[in-house]
Amino acid sequence: MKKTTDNLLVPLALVGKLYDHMIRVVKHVPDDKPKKNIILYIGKVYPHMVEAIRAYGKKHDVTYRIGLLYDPKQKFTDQTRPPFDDLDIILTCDFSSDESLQKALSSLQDEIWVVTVRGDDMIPRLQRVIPYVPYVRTPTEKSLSWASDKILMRQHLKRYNPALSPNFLIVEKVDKQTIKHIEDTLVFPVMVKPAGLAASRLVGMCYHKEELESFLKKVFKEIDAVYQETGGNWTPKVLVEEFIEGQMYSLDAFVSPSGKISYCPLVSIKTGKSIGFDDFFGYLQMTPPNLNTDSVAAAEEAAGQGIRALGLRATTAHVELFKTEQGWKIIEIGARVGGFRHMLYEFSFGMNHTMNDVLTRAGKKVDVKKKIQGYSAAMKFFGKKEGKLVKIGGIKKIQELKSLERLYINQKVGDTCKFAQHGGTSVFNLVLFHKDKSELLADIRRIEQTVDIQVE
Amino acid sequence: MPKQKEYILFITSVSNKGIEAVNTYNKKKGTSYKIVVLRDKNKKSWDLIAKKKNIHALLTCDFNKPHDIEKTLSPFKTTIKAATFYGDGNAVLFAKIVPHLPYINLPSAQSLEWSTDKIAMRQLFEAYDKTITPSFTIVKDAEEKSIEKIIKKVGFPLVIKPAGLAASLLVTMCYHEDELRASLKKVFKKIQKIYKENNRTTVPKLLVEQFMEGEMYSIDAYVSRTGEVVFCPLVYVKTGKAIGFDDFFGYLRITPTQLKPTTLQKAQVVAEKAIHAMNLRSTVAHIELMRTEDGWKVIELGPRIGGFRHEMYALSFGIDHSLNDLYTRLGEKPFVGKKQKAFVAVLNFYAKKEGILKNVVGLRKVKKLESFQAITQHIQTGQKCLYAKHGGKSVCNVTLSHKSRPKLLADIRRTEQMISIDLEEK
Repeated sequence: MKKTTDNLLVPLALVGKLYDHMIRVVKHVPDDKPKKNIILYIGKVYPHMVEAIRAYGKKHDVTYRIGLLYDPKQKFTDQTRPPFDDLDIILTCDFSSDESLQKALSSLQDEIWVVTVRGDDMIPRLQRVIPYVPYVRTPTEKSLSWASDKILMRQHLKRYNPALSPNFLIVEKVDKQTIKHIEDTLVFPVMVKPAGLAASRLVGMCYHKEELESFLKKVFKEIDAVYQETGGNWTPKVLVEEFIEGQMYSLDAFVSPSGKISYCPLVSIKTGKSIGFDDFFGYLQMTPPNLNTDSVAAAEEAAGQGIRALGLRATTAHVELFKTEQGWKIIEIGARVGGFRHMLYEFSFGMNHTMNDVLTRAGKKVDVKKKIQGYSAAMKFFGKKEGKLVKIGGIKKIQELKSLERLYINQKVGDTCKFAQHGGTSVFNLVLFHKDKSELLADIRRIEQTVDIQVE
Repeated sequence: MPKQKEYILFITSVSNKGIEAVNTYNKKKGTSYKIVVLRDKNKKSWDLIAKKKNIHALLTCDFNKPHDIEKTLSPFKTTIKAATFYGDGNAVLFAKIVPHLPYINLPSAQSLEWSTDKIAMRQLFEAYDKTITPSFTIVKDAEEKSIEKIIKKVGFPLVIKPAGLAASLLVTMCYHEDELRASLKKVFKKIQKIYKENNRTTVPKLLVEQFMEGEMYSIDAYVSRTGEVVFCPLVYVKTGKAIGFDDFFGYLRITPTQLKPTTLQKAQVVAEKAIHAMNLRSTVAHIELMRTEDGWKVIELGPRIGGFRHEMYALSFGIDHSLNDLYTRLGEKPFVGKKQKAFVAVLNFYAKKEGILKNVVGLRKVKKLESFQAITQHIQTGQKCLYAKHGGKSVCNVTLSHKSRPKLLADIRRTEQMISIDLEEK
C-alpha cells in the first residue's frame, strides 16, 4: 500500500504519547504520598518487640515505623514501661472518648499498616480503635468480644461444635436456686471462671455443692474489686463449667485476613495444681512437647475449629487445650500472642513471633518454623502460702545455670504474695533453653531444689 | 474309709479374705479344704493369730533349706490342692516351695524369680518385645565407668531401682550427672547395709532405666495353667510425684477408669505381653503400666494380687479377687463380673515431711462421708513417718466408694481437706 500523509498522522501521535510517558517516568517527581508502614501497638509495647521488628526490617531491607497509642492515665512499672526513645510515633488518647480517638488517629489513617496488641487487658482498647482505622486489616470488634469474654466464647464454641468444649452454665448471682440449677445441670467437679478476667484470676475448682456455694460467694465479693483494679467494665458474670480431665497444652496460631491458619508448635503446660498448689497458674510451660504427629494434627484441628467458631481473622490466636480420652478440648482462646511465646518459639524454633504477629495481621505470609533447635521452658514461681514476702533464695545459683535465658523478678521482699486465683502475680519467672532436653530437665530440677521463697 | 483331708497352702500368713475365699469355695463346690500356713521359722511367731483364725495347721521351716521345706511339707504333700500367697515380699518364699509341690498347678519357680527381680524382668521384657519397656542398664557400683554407661545407654531423666528390694524402697529419680553420682553412692551404701542386716551374700545390683512420661495405671490378671489371661478392670494411679512429693508412692488409686474400650484393649495387649514374657502360669499377676505418647509401657509386674485390689474390685464390680485367685490356682475359671456397681478410690496419706507423728486430724470426719468404706492407720503417734522411697509406710489409707463418680470425687476432695498429718516440731 502507498503511504499518504493521512496514514502517517497516526504513528506520529503515538510517538508523542510515548514521549510524554517517557518524560514522566524519567523525571523525578517527589512522592508526597505518605508510606503505609506504621506498626501501631495499643497500650503496651516492650523493648523486645521493637528489637524483633527492627531486626526483621534490617534483614529484609524494609523500614517500619513503630508506634504506640496509649492512655496518658495508664500507669507503667519498670517492667511495663514502653521504650519511648526507640519508638517512631507516640500517640495518646482517652480510649473511652470517640473524639479523642479520632483526633489521635485520623491524620495517620493512610499510614498505619498494622494495629496490634499484647495482653488480654488491652484487647478492649483495640476494639475501640478498630472503627478509626478503616483501611487496616483487623479482626472484627465482635470477634474480639467473643474471644475476650469466657461466656460468649463458650457459647460460640458450643454452637460451632458441642464436642469442642465442656458443658457450662452462666451465673450472675449466688442463691439456692442457682446452686440447685448447677447441681442439676452439670457434673461435678466444676471449674468456676469469672468472665472478662485474665489468666487464672478467681478461677477455682469445686468438687461439691458446699464448696461451690462458698467459692461463688467469695468470687462475687471479690469480683468488683478486681474489675476496678484491672479496669474491667463488664457486668459481673461467672462461668461454671464441667472440669476436663486431661493434659494441658497450648499453641499460638496465625490467622490471616482471609482465614488461613498457620499453627505454631504446641507447648505443654503443667499447672500449679500438679505441684501441690490449689491454684491453676501455668507453673511450667515447655516446647516442643512429646506428642506424636497424629496428636499434633488433632490438636491443630480442634484449635482451628475454635478460631473459626469465634470468627477470628487478621490476628494471632493463643489457644489453650486439654488432651482428653475423648479427644482435644478447648479451654480458652485469646486473640493475642501467648505469654512467653515470643521467647519459647524463638529459642526452640528460631521464629520471630513478634514479626509473625505483625505479618499475619497485614495479610502477609508468616514464617512458621518447625525444625527443632532445642528445648525451652518458662516457669512461674509463687510462694507456697499467701502473705508477706520475706526471702527469695536461690537466685544466684539459678543465674549460674547454663539453660537460663531470662529472669524476671516481679516481687521484692516486703511485697504481699497472693495466689493467682486471688489476683496475685508470681514472685519471679524464668525462661530456659537448652539444645538437649535432658539438660533442660536437669536444670529445671536444680531450680526446683534451689528456689526458696519464704512468706510470713 | 473316711475321705482324706485336702488342703490349701498359704505362704507366711493368711488374711481374713483368704479364709473367706476358702470357705466360699468349699460352700460353692461342696469341698472341705482346710487351710495350712507355711511360715519361715525366722519370722515373728504367728501361733496366736493362727489359733484365733482357726487355721488347720501352722507349719514352720527354714525356707533357705530345701530339705527342711521337704520335711515340713511331706505329711501334706499329696493332699495340698493349691498353694498361694499375698503380698510382694512372699513371692520369693513362694518360689522356694514350688519344687516341693510338683503335682499341683503352680507357676515355675524360675518365672517367680524373674518376676521378683527388677533386672531379670526388664531383660525378659526387652527380649520379648522391645516396645513395651523403656531403655535400661544394670550397674554394680558407682564407679566412673558405670556412670558413663548409664549416661550413654539411658540418658536423663532416669530412675534408679534397686534389684531385690520391695516396692518403691530406694527408688530414686535423677535429672543430671551430679544427682546421679550422689544417688548411686547413697543407694549402694544403703543396699549394702540392708544386705548385711539380712545376711545376703549376693552382689547388690541397680537397675537404671529411662524415666517414662505419662499416666500410670495398673491391672490385675488371672493367668491359667495354659497361659490364657483374664483381666480385671484397669485402675488409675496418681503418684505422690503428681501432688508435689518427691516420691513415687501410689497416692490415689481409682477404678474403673475413664478410658475408651480401644485404649483399654491396648493396655491389655501390653499387659499380656508382660505376663508371657515372664512365662507366668497358674497365678494372679499385678501389672503396672505407663500410658505414654508412644503407647503403653510396662513399669513392673508382680506374680501376686495388687495392693487394695480385693476391696477395689469387690466394691466396683462385685469381683471376689481372693476367690478368683483360688480358682486360678486350682485350674478353674475365675469369675469377673462386668456390671459396674460403683466407683472406688483408695487414698494413701503420707506426711509432707519426714519426722515423728504428732497427730492425725480428721479421721472421724472422714468416717461420716457418704462414700466412706474403710480407714487404716499404719503409723501411730510417736512413731516415725518416712517417705516410701526411704522404706516408709503411709500414715493412713482411706477407701471410698460411690455409685456416682462426681460424688466420689467430691468425697476424695473432702477427705484431702479433712485429713491433716501433724509432725512433732524439731
